[in-house]
Amino acid sequence: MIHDDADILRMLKSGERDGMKFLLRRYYRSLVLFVDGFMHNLSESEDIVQEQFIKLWENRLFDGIHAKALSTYLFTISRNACFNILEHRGIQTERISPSHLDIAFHEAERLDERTVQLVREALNKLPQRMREIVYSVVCENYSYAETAERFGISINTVKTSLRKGMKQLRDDLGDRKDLLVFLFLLGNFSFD
Amino acid sequence: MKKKYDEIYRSLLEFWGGKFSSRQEEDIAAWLKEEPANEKRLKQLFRLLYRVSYAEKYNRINLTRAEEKILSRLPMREKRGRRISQRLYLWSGAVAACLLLFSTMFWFPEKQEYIEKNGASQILGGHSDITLLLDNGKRMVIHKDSSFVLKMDRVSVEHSVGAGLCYMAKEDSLSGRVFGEAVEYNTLIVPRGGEYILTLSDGTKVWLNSETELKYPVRFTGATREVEIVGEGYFEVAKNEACPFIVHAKDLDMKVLGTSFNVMAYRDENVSVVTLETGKVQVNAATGREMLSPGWQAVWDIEGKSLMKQQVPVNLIVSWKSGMFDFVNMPLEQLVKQLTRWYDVEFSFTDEAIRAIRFTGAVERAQSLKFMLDFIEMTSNVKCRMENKMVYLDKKLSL
Repeated sequence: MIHDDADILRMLKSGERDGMKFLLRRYYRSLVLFVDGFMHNLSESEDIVQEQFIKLWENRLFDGIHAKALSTYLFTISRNACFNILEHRGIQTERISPSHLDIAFHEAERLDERTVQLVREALNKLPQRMREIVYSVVCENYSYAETAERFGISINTVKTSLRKGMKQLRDDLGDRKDLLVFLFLLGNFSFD
Repeated sequence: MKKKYDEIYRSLLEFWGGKFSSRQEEDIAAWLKEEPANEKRLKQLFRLLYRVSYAEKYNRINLTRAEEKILSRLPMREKRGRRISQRLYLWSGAVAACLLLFSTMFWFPEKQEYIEKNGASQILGGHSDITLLLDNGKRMVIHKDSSFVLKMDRVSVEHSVGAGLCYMAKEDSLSGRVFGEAVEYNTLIVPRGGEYILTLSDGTKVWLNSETELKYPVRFTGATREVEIVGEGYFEVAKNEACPFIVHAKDLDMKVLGTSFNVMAYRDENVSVVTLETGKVQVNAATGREMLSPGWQAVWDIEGKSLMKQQVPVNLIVSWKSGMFDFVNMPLEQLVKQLTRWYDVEFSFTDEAIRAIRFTGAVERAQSLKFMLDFIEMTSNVKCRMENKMVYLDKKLSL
């Protein structure tokens, strides 16, 4: 049975701990990934998000939230919590642009098993070395030079592989409707 | 050309990874300025990057373990005394110290409220009395929960709880004017902190938002039905193809036959906006006209004296009439304008930069002002303080 935000809120308000279980299933992974985008540390991000859920329960913060606002609320309190930590460490969070945040938020919010599957399939279709290079830069955040050194190849090879690999990913993942809308807005732009 | 793209692509990807030089940052900034489409390209790329990297990490998050961990640590609500130790348990080192400061606010909510938002929990919107200005210059104050009947020449006006004022023409409603009969006008004044609903003599229903005035004939006669509005109103116009309904607002006229639409034309806004929900509406301005179909909005820029149209999510714009504040990506400055009208309080920005912070949410208008201020505080780095119906908005001090 799928529980929507209104169901979940109703359960939380009546004090059912199951409400929390369904809330976690629906949002936990997305929130952790979203927070990890700022913290670059998955286990710390899990801690931050867990703290938000506990706070939500302890302080009955869900009481005044409308079902339509639940998702935005969860993402916002998580963002605030990690921005507080970052600022405490002397990192200037105001330099993160709102549109960048929007993208991170939307992509995390709509992430589900199916999307994950699609992305994995798309990645698996790339030749192995190309996939490793894309993974190194996109997921592990190595620079071009570091990636070249890791694999013992030239920076130019990194450049070429990335351009081809990203283009193929974009073409493959462009099948998704929401991405299509976006591509439509972009016209027929291509980086090649 | 290809080489240039290669370089900018590299800068973007290294920027994404957080390992970039200041020269690369400058290159990106310059590239963004080159043409507006580049910003869209950047967004497209980042969207893809997020999707790929999120998906890659998705399975590294152990949901079952998190579920067990959180559920086992959730205190039963009754055991309030245990909260502090539970919280400390979850955190360690510097992070704990920081979070402790941050959560002080939640531990002493009563005290906080007393100092910071004195009285805000008692401030509710929608409760102010309405004034009806009659044609002979007399004023009537209408309490929302009163009911009465007014008899006028050829019209009877009924006021009831929930349905507001209802004008009923005594004869065939749209029959021509009796020779020599002057048109009689009433004006309904909804102050700040009020809202109202009214039914005109032709059956047209009008929802009036806070700080709005509507002037209308007590009985429609002649070839057109014409009313004047300042503020915001939602019209559900009774169909009569022989007799167009015309709404006059600041710098705009709307002509319709039978349709529903929203008009926002406040004195203190720099735009006037007409949004169509059903039917058709023709919007006339000094410099042009637009024909709207459902889902479209005409925006009149008062300073620039230009009329443009755009497609919008209509339900967000008209949700005020069903008791919601619905805002998507709305700058604080604009959100505050709505709160000023609804709660009849003033806002003052003590930090200019926060005016532009954007909010997304859906909140019932029946909630108190305190609830709204808490919502703003909890979802942003804005701090609210209220004294004597004046709310000061400031940036939260970082820890």
